[in-house]
This record gives sequence, C-alpha cells and structure tokens, in this order.
Amino acid sequence: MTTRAVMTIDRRRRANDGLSATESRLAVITALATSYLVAWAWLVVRPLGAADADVAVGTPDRAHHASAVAPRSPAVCCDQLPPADRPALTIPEGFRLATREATTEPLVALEPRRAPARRPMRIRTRSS
Amino acid sequence: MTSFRAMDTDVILRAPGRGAIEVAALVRGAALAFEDAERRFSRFDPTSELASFNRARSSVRVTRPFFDALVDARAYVELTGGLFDPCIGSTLAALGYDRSFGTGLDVASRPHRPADVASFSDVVLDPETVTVTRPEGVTIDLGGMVKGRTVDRVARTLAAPAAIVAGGDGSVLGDGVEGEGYLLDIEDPRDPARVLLSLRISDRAFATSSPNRRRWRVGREERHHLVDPRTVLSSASDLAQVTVLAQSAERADVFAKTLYLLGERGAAAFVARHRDLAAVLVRMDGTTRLLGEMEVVDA
Repeated sequence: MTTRAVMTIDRRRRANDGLSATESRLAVITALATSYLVAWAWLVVRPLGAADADVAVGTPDRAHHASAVAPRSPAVCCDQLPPADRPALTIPEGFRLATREATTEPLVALEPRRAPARRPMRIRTRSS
Repeated sequence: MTSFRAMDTDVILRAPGRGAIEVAALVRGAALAFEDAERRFSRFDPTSELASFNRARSSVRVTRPFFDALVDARAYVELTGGLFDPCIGSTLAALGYDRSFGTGLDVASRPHRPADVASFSDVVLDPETVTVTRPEGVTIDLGGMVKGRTVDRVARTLAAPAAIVAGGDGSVLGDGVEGEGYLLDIEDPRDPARVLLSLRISDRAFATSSPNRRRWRVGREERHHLVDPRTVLSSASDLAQVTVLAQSAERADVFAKTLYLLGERGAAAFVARHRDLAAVLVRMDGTTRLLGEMEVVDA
C-alpha cells in the first residue's frame, strides 16, 4: 500500500518537469520582450554619450578647438588678447569696432527706477 | 492745503505728509511773514514804512529789510535795462491805480499824465547810514517784487515737499512726495477756466504776468497795471501773458513783467541771455511759445 502511494507521487512530479504549451509561449514572449527592451535602451542611451565621444575622437581641428576653448571663458573680447594674437577682422561697410566701455555704458544708464505711483500736486498759474 | 488772505490775494500753503499741528504752525509763520511784508512795503496802507518813506521830503533812515529790498531792486533795474522800475508807482497813481482793486472798477478820477517821470537810478542808497534819498515827487512801489520776496522768505522756512503760492507767485520745494514733481497748469488768459498746458517742475519758483486781472477804466480809456517805463503808459505788448520759471519767486515776478513788456521777440532774446530762466509766452491768439528748458506734460 505504501509503495504504490510513493510511485503515484513520483509520476506526478515527472509530469510537472515538462513545460506546457502555454508556459512555453510565455517564456518565448518574455525572452523577446527582454531583448527588445535591451536593444531600445542601447539605442536611446548611446546618442547622449556620443557627443563626448565625438570631441575625443573627432577630426584633429575640432579636437584642438575644443581643448583650446573649454578651459577658458566661452567668449573672449579682442582687446583681451595680446596684439599679436588678435585676429584680422573684416567689418562690413558702415560698421565700426566699439570698445567694451562704449558697449557697457548704455546698460549702466538703463538702471531700473521705480516709477512714482503718486499723482503730482497741481498748481494753477494766475496773473500776479 | 491751507490758505489765508494777504496782499489782496489768496496765499496757499501745501505741506503734504505733515500733521495738522505742524501745518498750522507753518501757516502761522507764513501769515506773519506776509503781515510783516505788508507793514513794511504796502503802498495802500498809510501806516506802512513805504508810505511813510514816500511822504518824507528829505533823506530817510530806513530799516535794514527795507534797505536790502531797495538794493536788490536796483540790481533788477540794471538787469532789465530799466524795464523794472520801482518809481513807476507815481505813474501808476497818475494812471488811476491809486487804490487796491481788481478788474472792472470804473475809476472816477480824472486821467492825467505825471509831470516828471523819474528813474530809480535817481534814488540814492547809502549803505553806511542805511538812508535813502529820492527826488522830490517820486514815489516808490516794489509791487510784485515784494510778493515774490515774501514767498521766497516763507519757502526758506519750509522743508520739502511743500509749495507756497501767493496770487500767481509761487515756489515748490523738492520733487514732490515720491519724486512725482509738481504740475504747473498754465492758465488761458482769455478764459481762466481753461488750461493751455501743464509743466512738470521741481525745486522751482514761478510767476505770471498778464493784464487780464487788473484792468480799469479812466473815462473811455482802458488801463492795466503793467506800465511800460519807456512810454509811461499801460503796455501795448504783443503778448497776452508770460509765465517765468526761475530760482526764486522774486526773480520770476520781476522777469515775468519784464518779458511781458519786451514782447515776444525781446523776451526770447532776454531768456537766451539768462540761462536760469524759462518762460511760457502766450500770444494774443492763445498760441504759446516756450523759451528755455522745461518739461511739458500735456498740452
């Protein structure tokens, strides 16, 4: 009696070890979805890192420019450069080079000032 | 705003932001200053120092404020080339302006021309003895100059922002309460209810001269108080009104009359020579001409 019972249990476990059709389909779908997500993740993340890679592995000129400008301020005024290093500038007719002082002067004059909200006192003239 | 009556006109004092007690004290001080000026300089009060001086037949020792006013008057006589002349008082009386009155009164006195018209240059001022000697028959009238002088005296006792106006002569202190300035409405001399234009002013004095308020009739002739010393008659200026902006109400008053007598062309030349002045000329047809620097707010 006891032996029969054990044999019955073993038979059931062996049957469970094999995958059913539904389980197989689920496994395939899961595998495909995972590979799909991995591929998308690789495609999206790659361009963000690509810019840095371009600077490092780009053309020799671009690489040189990037290494020359990056440590300094993004804009350099001509008069900050030594005279020998100043580039030759071609200015359109009718334009002229302005000094930095002349450029900043109007900005100083345009300091915001609070407009008086009060109405002025009115005085009427009349002949004395 | 508080007003009181002095020098036959309304005196208005404005001191925004001050308490009632402080304003009342300021008005009392202003009224005392005007009373003092009238006691000293009124041509119509027989008890005034000026009236006593005009009655005297010899050299007169005068008070220091009276003497100082005459010294300043002499400077104005020279500055205006004699168009401002305190000796015009006797001429005014001869023309019928021998009492204090407004427009429209019919003066019964017979018109006559003054026999001799002396100039203020003939008056001798001795600063050492504080005495004044004038030619016989000449009377002195400082008129509007004293009104402007008193406005300036009161203005010196006020702190900004404040305004004091006495019948057309006024002074504003500071730039208003919050930097908004003061608006000076230029009255239309042909219709006092209308405003021709408005100026934004600050720390400035002003005065207006026009014959529209003090006119009278002598027989069939109409006269006004702006007498031209060159003709010894009421001026036949081509202007209807002049408003002057200056650093003091006294200067503004003297030069408003001067510009009126000079007429449009002469007034433009005069303001060009005195850069501290600005003026609004109103022509007979109501059109205006602006001389000197000023800020017109609306027209």
